[in-house]
Amino acid sequence: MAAEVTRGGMLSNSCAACHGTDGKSPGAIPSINGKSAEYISQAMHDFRDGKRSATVMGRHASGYSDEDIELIADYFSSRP
Amino acid sequence: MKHFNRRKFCKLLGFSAVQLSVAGLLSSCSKGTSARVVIVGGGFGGATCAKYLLRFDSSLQITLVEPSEKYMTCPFSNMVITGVQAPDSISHGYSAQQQRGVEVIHAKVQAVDATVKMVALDNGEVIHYDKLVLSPGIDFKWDAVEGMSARDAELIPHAWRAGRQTSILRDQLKSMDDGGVVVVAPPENPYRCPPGPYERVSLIAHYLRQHKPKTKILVLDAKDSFSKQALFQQGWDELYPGMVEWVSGSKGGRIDEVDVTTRTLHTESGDKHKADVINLIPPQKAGEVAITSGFSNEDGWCPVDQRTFESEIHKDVYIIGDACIAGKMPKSGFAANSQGKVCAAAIVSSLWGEDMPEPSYVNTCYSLLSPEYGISVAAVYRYDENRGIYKTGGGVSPVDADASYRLQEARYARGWYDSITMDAFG
Repeated sequence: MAAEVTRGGMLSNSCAACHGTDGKSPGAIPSINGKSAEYISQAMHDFRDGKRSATVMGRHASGYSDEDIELIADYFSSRP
Repeated sequence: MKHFNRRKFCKLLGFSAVQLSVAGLLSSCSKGTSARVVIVGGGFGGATCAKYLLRFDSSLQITLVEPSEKYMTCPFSNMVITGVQAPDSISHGYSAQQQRGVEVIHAKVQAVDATVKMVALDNGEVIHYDKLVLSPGIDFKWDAVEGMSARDAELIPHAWRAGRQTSILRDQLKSMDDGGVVVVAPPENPYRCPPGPYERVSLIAHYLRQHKPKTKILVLDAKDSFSKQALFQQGWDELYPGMVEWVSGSKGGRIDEVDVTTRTLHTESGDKHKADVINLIPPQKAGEVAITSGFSNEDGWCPVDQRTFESEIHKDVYIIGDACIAGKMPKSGFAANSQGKVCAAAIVSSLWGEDMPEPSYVNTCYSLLSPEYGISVAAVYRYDENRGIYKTGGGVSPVDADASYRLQEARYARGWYDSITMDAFG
């Protein structure tokens, strides 16, 4: 699937290094492709607010605004 | 001369080179420009950039120039040095890139002429480019190491570019007697992979504790502090009590001169350290091609527009990875991967005549203190015209975490490796 040069794409491509290209992980880090936008958004907010326990994700989530999180959630929910 | 000739030939006929060679790919992209992008260096930066360029615009002609048929990664090379993993497990070829349509040429760049947009290779080929990406990694400032030259790295390995150097250090550790001293000497900032020397110290300690428990590790550091320091020192006390001694630069860590034949280090403070194995990591600069082509500053690194990675010195030349100056981002494989994607977006935006959306960059580095004990540093970055690339969030693993957290991070370190190597080379 072609990748988009959009704001959501720019944000999401940097997630791919750990979660795999298009969010499809080959290893121990969870895949995030095709999950619902609501699920991804909720997870990111919970990581950021410390409501969901994590190792590195709380620290990552601290770098993103609400708007960033919605764009990332929309992007990965659209990846098959 | 085949590329240049083909281009001229196509021009004469009124066809684009793409129509002749990869016409089938055109249908999948409406914005196709058929421009030629030459990428020099097939590590994390260059390989990622090649892949994402084609994902963004499948009509591009991408040529990747990389001398090695298999690229051995620095990440996880400390597991090879200490015999936990085989060299093959960290080596990656370019077949996926070729299947995607990237032309891979295994050669070395001899010269870049940015005024006529040509790259000359050591196999005699001359390639024309519309956009050039350099991802040449690092080279060493041997002039700054008194008593030692590049050739002496056969005896005193740096193992800071993976490959033969990795095996030399592994073999030296394997053949040394128990009860001796291993010196690891990290350089002054900036250098490739800030936490790397200290992961190496940790994993060497892991190896020695199992095989040569009377051996000591002396860390002679050029610096007075280092990445994830509290976490590393806590881990050394916990996992390898009494085995690791770290000496800061101002307290006798800085090395003045190397005596290669006797494996002795003379420090600025006047001390002499004779060791069984010395891992001296020299001060660094951008990879050779970036320097000889005139894209670096007086410190040996390449100034770029940190939003696009286009060289401040030459238009249509982009420099990514360890070789470039990227604001607050460290020199790491992960940073190079992140920059490769931003650079790919910048290049296609420029070719399409569009504005690139606001970039976002990430770094995530795991370090293993043992195969079951991992720590990490993570950061998210943005760009600002006045500040360059700056950090918006992130942090390091907590100091008070329990063993299950460290084990989980060690598992994620392996997952990280599987994902990023797939994202770059797969």
